[in-house]
Amino acid sequence: MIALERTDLAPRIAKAALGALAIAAALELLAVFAYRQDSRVRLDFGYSEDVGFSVSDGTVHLRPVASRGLWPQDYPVAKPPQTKRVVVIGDSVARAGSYRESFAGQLAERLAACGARAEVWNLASPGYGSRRKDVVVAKALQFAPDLVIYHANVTTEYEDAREWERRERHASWHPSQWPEKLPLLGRISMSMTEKVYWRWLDPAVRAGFDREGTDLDEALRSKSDVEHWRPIMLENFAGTRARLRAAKVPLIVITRADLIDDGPEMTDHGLEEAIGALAKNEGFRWIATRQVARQGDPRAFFADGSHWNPIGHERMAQALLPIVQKTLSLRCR
Amino acid sequence: MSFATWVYPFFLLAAAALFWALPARWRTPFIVAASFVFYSWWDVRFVAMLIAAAVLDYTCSNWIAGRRPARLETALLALTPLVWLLLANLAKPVPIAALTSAAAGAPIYWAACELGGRLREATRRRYFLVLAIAGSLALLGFFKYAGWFAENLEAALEAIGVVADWPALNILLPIGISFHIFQSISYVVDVYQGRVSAERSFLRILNMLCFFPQLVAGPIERAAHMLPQLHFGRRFDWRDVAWGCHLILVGYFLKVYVADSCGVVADYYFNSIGENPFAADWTLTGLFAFAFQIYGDFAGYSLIARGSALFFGVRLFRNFQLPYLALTPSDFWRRWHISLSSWFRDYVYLPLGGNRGTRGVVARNLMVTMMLAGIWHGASWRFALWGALHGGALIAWRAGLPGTGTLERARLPMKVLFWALTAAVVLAGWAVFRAASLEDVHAMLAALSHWHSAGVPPVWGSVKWILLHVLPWIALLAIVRRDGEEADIARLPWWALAPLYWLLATLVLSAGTQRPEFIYFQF
Repeated sequence: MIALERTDLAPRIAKAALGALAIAAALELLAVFAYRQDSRVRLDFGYSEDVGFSVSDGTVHLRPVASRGLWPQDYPVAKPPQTKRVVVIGDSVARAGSYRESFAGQLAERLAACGARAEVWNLASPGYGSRRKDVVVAKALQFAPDLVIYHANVTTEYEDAREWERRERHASWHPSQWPEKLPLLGRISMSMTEKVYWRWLDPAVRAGFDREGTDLDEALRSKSDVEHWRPIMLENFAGTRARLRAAKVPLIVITRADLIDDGPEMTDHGLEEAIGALAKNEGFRWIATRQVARQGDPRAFFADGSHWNPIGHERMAQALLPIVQKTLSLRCR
Repeated sequence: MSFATWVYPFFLLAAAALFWALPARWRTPFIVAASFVFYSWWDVRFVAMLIAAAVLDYTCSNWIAGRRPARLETALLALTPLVWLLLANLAKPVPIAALTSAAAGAPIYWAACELGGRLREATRRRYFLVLAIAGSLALLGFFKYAGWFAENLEAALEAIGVVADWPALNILLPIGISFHIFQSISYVVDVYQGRVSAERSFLRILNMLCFFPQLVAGPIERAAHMLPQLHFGRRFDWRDVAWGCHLILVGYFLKVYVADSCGVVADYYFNSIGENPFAADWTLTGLFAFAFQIYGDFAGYSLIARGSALFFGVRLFRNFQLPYLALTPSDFWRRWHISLSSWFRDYVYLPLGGNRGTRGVVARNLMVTMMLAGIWHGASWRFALWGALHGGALIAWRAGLPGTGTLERARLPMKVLFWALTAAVVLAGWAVFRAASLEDVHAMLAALSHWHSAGVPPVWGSVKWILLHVLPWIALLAIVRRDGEEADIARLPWWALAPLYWLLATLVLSAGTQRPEFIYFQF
């Protein structure tokens, strides 16, 4: 057996270690300037109000930043006279493939076409559940909207829970989090988790391993368990409604639906009954995706089992138009 | 405490700083205390077992060397495990059976020593050798094999129509027990055979057994190599620390980036063989994933252990030397877990007769040694089968296939052919080693009859994941010579090593925060 240790290589190792430290310092410094957004914002995982919103020269700029994937949009901070401001809150379904393609964009076009002065902000972000949508609503209220269109969903709740866990963990000063707080290393680590680990490995494969320390296994198993997530969603949504009531901003809710095994049957995850009852009690308007999608073959409405294609967004915009007009007392000129 | 926790680097740095700040005479008790803290991180109660093994080694080796420890000293030492258990009870409840055993064991051991002391010298030496080995094996047998033995006995009795319905033994397995018990046995045997003189300091014996960098998974050290270093007479040498840091970085890379990542796929596959209709694609993926998981895990651990020991000026044995480049099964065992394979060579194979005798005798010696090495890994027939498979391969190779020396001189295609053959033996062995049961092994064999798995997650993502985590390591090995070791990547010039260090550290630090335990801790 050999116990030979190459301590003669120590001077080389020491030089190389110093070199590695210099490389790390230089790259981290470069990352501070190269990245548009402070890495702390990224580590808020969508729970920071301000992410994606910036104000300059009297204009609010909406940009995709960190874990808030807003479509680029620019609006005046102060509402132009006689103009109504509508904001759309939701997840990837409401966000769509582009602003123009989304029902928000289509609604803006339709309102403009009939001569109504209105802005429709698309504030939907992929993966957002009720908890992060509430953060976006709170931010949106700073810009005095006249109407909030809220796309209600249950299936992204687990992502909210997971991202909240990640945020809490990253916020701690435990030594395990020190590297993650560095601008470059933190991003590499997150990319390895989000772009490689989550995408390459099937949920069933990684279910037994907890890369990030969150109870990913539980979260994944609960993903399809709408009974688990619906009460959580409704509780968070109650907070959002209270916020809107306090600000006296009317609300329109769209309940989500998904195709069952690629259709033509759809499921609403039990939302229509719950939202319908709330709407009746509180007097807000709501519209069911199932109802709109059923106006033809539901499969022609969806791009996949959950997201809508441009036709789906168009039909939703069409269905929303009279409700929005009525709510905002807008008349076509 | 595991090397894979965030506490460990801080613990190591603090322990090393204090160690070098202390006067030389305080260093041995300090390291013993630090090792107790390290081991107590898992379970404070099991330190009593380390103390008991050290008491056995100390008293028996001194008797063997012809030095009679004082009666009072033997009595006090025999009581130390009990004292520890009573103190540990304040932190964690100690079962009454353990307290009773320690209380009864002390006078019995003292009486056994007294009895041995009255024997004539030649008989006495043998008596204390047997006492030390039997005591160590009793500890190992009770904690590791009692449950398995009871199960097998129950099954055997049932086969002849006797119903033995005794309660299941739920004995907690102390981490790394097989490693320190083997180290303990080799010390007493070496004293008996005159290869090393009996150590007069009980603390130093204790230190040899529980030196924390190698406490839980080796390398299994020899007293002749270890004891002189534990006088801690060396001065601080920054070159030891620099090389130690290099070993630790490479070790963490192997553990965190290679092993744990491959482990995600391997664990999924092996934990769900019974539930999923896997075909050859998934079976081979799972098998390769495990091959790199266990290699990265254990080779990584061994490098971290060596690097950590250097922080205290102690040099441990190399435990790995690029095992997957082996050209023959015997070459594999000269490269894989070297401290264990050489232990079995020196204390089992050679005493059995080694290579002397007829082919049949040598084959028997090989098979017995390898099966015992298999069972050393765990109380299961799977491990015995794993040992038998390697034993069979070693025997087959001796029967006529070219040896490592011949192959080293052979042409490349010949080398590749025998490398592939050896790799196939090793992979087949890992299938038996990792499978949860022999039924799973059977299911794996059946799965090889068709290629595409249906009704299970697609395999391609997992293949990409494994390649991402294994290819950088394979690329690095291009720097290392075949007769070198994993840490030899330090052969690069400093300007090439600097970005490599940055890359390794980045990959380690960005590989997630949750670390599974080292596989070999369970042994």
